[in-house]
Amino acid sequence: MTTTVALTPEQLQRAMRRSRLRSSNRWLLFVNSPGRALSCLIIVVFTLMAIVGPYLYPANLPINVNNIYAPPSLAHPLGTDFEGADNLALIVTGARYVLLAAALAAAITIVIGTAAGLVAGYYPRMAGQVVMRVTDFVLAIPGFPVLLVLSTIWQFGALWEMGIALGVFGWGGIARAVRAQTLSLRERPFVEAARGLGLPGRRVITTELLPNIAPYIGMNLMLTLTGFIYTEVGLFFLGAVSYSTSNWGVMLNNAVFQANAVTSTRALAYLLSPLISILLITIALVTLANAVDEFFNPRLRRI
Amino acid sequence: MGLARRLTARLLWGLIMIWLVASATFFLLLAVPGNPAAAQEAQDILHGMTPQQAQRATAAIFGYVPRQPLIDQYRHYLWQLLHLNLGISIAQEGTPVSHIVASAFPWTVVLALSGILISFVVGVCLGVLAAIKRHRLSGDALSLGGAFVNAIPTFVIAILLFYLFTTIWAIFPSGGNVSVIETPGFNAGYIGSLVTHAVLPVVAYALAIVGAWLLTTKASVISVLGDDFILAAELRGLRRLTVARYITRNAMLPLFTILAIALGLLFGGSIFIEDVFNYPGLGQLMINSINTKDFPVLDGAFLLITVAVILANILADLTYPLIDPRIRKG
Amino acid sequence: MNNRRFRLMAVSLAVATTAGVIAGCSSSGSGTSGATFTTIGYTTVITPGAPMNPFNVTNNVFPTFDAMQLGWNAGNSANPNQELPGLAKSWSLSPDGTSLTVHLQSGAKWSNGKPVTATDVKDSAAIWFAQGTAQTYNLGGVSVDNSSTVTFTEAAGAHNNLFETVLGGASGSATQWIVPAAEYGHLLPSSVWSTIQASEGTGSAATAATTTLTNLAKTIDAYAPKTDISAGPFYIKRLNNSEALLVKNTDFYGASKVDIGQVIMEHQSGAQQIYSYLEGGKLDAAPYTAMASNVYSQVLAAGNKPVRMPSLVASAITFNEQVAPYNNVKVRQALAYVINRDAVQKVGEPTSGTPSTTISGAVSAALPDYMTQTQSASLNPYAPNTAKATSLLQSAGLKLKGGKWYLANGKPWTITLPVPQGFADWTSASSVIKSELTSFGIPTTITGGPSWTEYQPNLFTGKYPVGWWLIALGPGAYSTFSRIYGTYDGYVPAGATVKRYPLGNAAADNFLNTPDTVSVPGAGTLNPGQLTFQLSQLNLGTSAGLAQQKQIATKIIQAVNYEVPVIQLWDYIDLQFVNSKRFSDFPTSDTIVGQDPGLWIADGYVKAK
Repeated sequence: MTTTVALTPEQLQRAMRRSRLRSSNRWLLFVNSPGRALSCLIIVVFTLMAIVGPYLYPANLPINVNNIYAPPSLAHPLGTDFEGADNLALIVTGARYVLLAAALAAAITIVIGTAAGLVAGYYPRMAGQVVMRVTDFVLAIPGFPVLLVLSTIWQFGALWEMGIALGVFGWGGIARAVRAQTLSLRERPFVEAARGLGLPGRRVITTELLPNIAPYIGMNLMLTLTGFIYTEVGLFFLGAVSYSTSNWGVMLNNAVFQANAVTSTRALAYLLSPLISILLITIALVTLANAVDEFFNPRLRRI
Repeated sequence: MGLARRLTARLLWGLIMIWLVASATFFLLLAVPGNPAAAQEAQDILHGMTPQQAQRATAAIFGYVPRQPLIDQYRHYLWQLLHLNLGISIAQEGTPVSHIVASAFPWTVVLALSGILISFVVGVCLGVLAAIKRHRLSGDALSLGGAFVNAIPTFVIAILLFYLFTTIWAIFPSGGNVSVIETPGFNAGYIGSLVTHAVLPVVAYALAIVGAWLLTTKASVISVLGDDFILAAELRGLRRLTVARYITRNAMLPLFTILAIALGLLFGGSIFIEDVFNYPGLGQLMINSINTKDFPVLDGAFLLITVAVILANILADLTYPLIDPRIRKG
Repeated sequence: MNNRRFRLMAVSLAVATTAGVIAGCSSSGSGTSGATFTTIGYTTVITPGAPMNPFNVTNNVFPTFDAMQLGWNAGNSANPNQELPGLAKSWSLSPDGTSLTVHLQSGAKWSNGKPVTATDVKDSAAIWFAQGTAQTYNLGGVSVDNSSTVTFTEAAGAHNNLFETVLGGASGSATQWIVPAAEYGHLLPSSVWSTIQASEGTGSAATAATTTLTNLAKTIDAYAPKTDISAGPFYIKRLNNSEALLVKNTDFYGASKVDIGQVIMEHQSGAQQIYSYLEGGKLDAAPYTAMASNVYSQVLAAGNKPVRMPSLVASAITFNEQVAPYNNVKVRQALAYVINRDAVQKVGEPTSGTPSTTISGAVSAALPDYMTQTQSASLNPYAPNTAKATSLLQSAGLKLKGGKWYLANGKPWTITLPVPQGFADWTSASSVIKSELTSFGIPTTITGGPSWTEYQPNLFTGKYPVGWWLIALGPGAYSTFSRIYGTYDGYVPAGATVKRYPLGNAAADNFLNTPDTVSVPGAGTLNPGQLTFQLSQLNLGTSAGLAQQKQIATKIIQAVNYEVPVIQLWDYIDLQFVNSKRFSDFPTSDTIVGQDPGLWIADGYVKAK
C-alpha cells in the first residue's frame, strides 16, 4: 500500500503497459513447440473452413448411389457417405454450423460471464450477491438436459438459434471463475491504489481488472468452446433435434445409427471423418489453453 | 450462528430456483407443438389400423383435455407439485410421473456417483503426478493423455466400450441393469448381475470426466507448488512423499467446489451412457419420453435432475467450510 | 512412482476379474426345464413400470406369447378375412354375413388353471366397445351360446364385408385381446351392455353413454394386474427394466406342442441395439429391422438367417393436386420419370425394401391378386427418362431456362420436401430425390424437423404440396387403394354410398384432391373414388366376390398408373432373422412367419437342438 500510493494512476498505468510490452516475446509460447504450432494451424484451418467452407462446394453435393460408404481414395480423400457424397465436402461444408454456433455461444458466454463475474467480484456486497445468485441458478440447470427439453419446442434449425441456446445456459462457469479472480485481484496493491485514488468502479474494472483477467477468460474460452461443440454435436448425434442440413453431428448420427460404423469397417471413414475433426479441434484448443496459461503464468514455463 | 443463517438463506434460494425451473418447464410444456394424442393415432395407423379405427381408439384412450384458463392450470400445477405430484404419463396411461421418475432416479445416481468417485480418485492421483513430473516426458504424456481422454465425447466413449466389451469381446452383458434370470433379492447371483451390468456404464462415466480431474488437479497443484510452505518443506528435506501429501491436500480443496458442477455434467452424460447401455435411469427416460412425446415425464425427469443438482450445490457450499479450515476461520 | 502405476493397474485388473467371476456365476444361475428362447419384443418395447395389461397403449405383454386373441389375421393380400386360429378353434359366418359363431379351443385354460370360457370373451368384447375398437368392426353384440361357444352379431343395418376380422388383427396390429373375466370383470359395471347399446343410438343419451364408456376405458387402461394370467403358450414370470422372463404355460391348450421352457425378451431402445444383439448371435429370432447393407452383411456373418416376406405397404411421394403445377397430370408423370426409384431405394431402404416395379397403388407382390400378368405388363413402368420428362413438362407449358425450370406463369419452380422427424429411410431417400430433382433443374430443399404430430395435420390440411406418405396398406384391395382414393382423397363411406368432402373439411383428410373422374387411355372414364368404395361392398367370402374385386382393382390400378396421384417409390420387405444355432424347425410359410414367434411355437414349430 505505502509503496504504490506514491504513484499517480497515470504512472501506474504507464508502468503496467511497459511491463506488458517488455514481455512481447512471450508470444513465442504459442509456436515454441511443434504441437502448439500445429494447434494454431488446426484452428486457423477450421476457422477458414467455417467461414468459406460452404462456398467451396456446390449447394447440391453430387451423389453416387453406386459408391456408398466408399473407403478413402484419391477422388474421395475421406471416403463417401450413405448416398455416395464426398465426406471431405461434408466436413468442410458442415463445419460452419458446428463451429460458428459454438463461437457465437462462446461470445455470449464471455460477455455475460465476464460482466457478471467482474461485477460480482468487485462489488461483493449487494450487487455481487444478486449476480451470484443468478449465476448459481444458471449453473444449477444441467446444460445438456435443458437443451434436450428445449428441443421439443425449438428445432435449432439456424446456427444462431443453437448458439444463443448454448450461450444463455453456458456462462455460469466463467462468471464464477472470473469472480474468484476478481476477488483476489481486488486486494492487490495496484487495484487498491486505483480505488484509493477515487477512480470510479467502472474505470477500475475496465482498465485495471479486465486486462489482468483476460488470460483466464482466454483459457476458459477455449475449454468452453470444446464443451459447446460436444453439446451441439451430441444433440444431433442423439437425433433429438432433426436436421435439414448436414453437419458433423448429423454425420455421426448417420454413421453410428444407420451405418453401424462402429463395428463395420466399411463405413469407418464416414464415422471417423467428423470424429477426428472434433478431436483435432478439441486437442488444439486444449493445447492452446495451456499456452495461454503459460503465457500469463510464468510458473508453468519451462526454464 | 453463521451456519444456521447460511443454511436458511441457501435453502430459501434453492426453493426459489426450484420454483423458477418448475414454472419454466410448465410454460415450456404448453408451447410444445402438436399433441401426443395425434402421435398415438399416427402410431396406430402405421401399425395397420384404419384411420377411423385409430381416431376412435385414440379418443377413447386420451379423452379430451379440459380447457381451463392458463392461470388456473398453472396454480393447479404448482399445487400438485407441492404434493410431489408431477402429473400423469401420456405414454404409460394412468401411471403417475412421480412414480416413473422416482424409480429411474436411483439407477442414475448410483452409477453417476460411482463414476465421479472413481474418476476423482484416479484423476487426482494422475494429476498430482503430472504436475510433479511436468518437466519430464512422463508428465507430458500424462497431460496429453488427460487432454485426449477429455477430448473424446462421452457418447463415443460409451459406444466404444459397448462394442469392445459386449460384442467383440463379450465379457459384459449387453445392456440393461440386471439379468431377468436371477431371482431378485439379497443373493449372490442377483447382486453379481447388478454389478456386472453396472461396470461398463460406471467406467464410461469415469472416463468421461477423469481427464477433467487430471487437468484441473495438475493446474491446481502447480499453483500450489510455488507456495512458501511447500518450498519450506522441501528445504527442510522432508520426504518427497510427505511433500506430495501436503501438495495434494492443498491443491484438492478447490476441486470440491467443482464437484457439484461435475454432477450436472454427469447428468448430461447419463443421457448418452444410458442410451447406449440401455440402462433404465433418468437419461434413458428423457430420451424415451422425447421419442414417445411423453412431455410430462420429460419435464418431470428434468425437474428432478435440476433439483438434485441444486441440492448438491447447496450441500457442497455448506460442507466446503468444514473441509477447508481457512474458510472456516474466515 | 512406478509402483503407483502398477497398483492402479492391479486395481483395474481386480475389478475385471471379479466381474468375470460374477458373470460366470450368473450364467449358471437358475435352472428351468426346457430350452431358453431369446428374442426381442416384436411389437412390445419393455417399459419400466408399465402394466401387464394389453389394453394399455404402453404395456408389458407380448402378443402370441402371453397376450391372445381369438384369431390372428393372416395378412393375405387377396383375402383380408383369412384368420389363423388363436383361442378360437373354428368359426362359421352366417350366409348373410351378419353373425359369426366361434368355438373356443377345447381345453383352453388360463395359466392359473381356470378354463377360458365364453364369459371371458364376452367381457373382453365389452372392453373392445369401451376402447372404441369394436365399433370399427361394426360389432353389434355378443351372445354366449354355451361355455365354449359365442356368437358375434353385426350392428343393425351395418354392412361390413370384413366382419370375420373381428376375431383379431395380425400380431403386429392386434387389438381384440381376450382377457380373463376373473381379473377384469370387476372393472365392468353390470350396466355395461346397456351403456354400449345406448352409445350406439343418437342424441344426448348416446353422448352421455359414450362419455361413460370413455371413462371406463381409462379405468381399464390403467388397471395393472399383479401377475400375468395368460391363455397363451407362455406367461410372464418376471419383468425388469430391460428384460422379461416368460415361462411355459403348462395349462396352454397346445402345451404338448411347445418345446420351449422359457423365453427371454430383450428390451430395445433402437435399431442399433438390435444390430448388436444380432451381431453377437444372441437372438434366436429377431423382428423386422431396417438396416444398411453393410450392417446386413455383418448380421449374416454372425450366423443369422434372413427371412424375407413382402410387406403390404409402400412408401410414396404425394401431391396436393389443388396446387399448380401438380394439378397437371403431365407434370406428375414427368416427375415420375425424373426420380430414379432404384437409386432412392438403394439409399433409403436398402435391405428391407424393393424398388416398386411400377406406379400402381398396390405393392408389386400383390399385383397378381388384382390383375393378370398381361395387364400388369402393360402398365407404364416409368423407367428413369429425363428426355421424356423434359418433353412432358414443355408440353405442359413449363419452360427450361439456364438449366432451371419455370412454371407457366414465369415463376421459378422449386420443391420443398418435408420429412417427419425420426423417419430415417425417408430422410435418406429425400436426400437422393433432392439431388435428382435439383440436377434436373428443379431446386429442391428438404425441410426436416416437424415431428409426426406436426407433419400429419400439415399434410392433411394441404400445407405440403409435395409430401411423404405410406400407401398400399394391405391386406385386401379396399384397404390398399383407400390409402389413395379413400378418406385422404375426401371419400368417406356413408351407409351404402360414399360421400366426397373437399380439402379443409374436418370430416375427411382430403389432401390429395384428385379429380372426380379421370379418363385413362384404354380404360375409359373412371371414378376411382367410387370404384374404391365398391371394393368395400363386395362379399369376399364368394369366388364371385373375389373375381369382382380383381376386376375393380384392375381399373383402379390403371387409373393410378396413368394419373400418378402419388409416386410409389419402394415396397417394403418384411426382413426378419432367425438363428439356427440353438433351434431348428423354424416355419417357412409366409402366413405363419408373418406372425410373432409365439404363434410359431404354439403351432409346434421351433425345436431345441
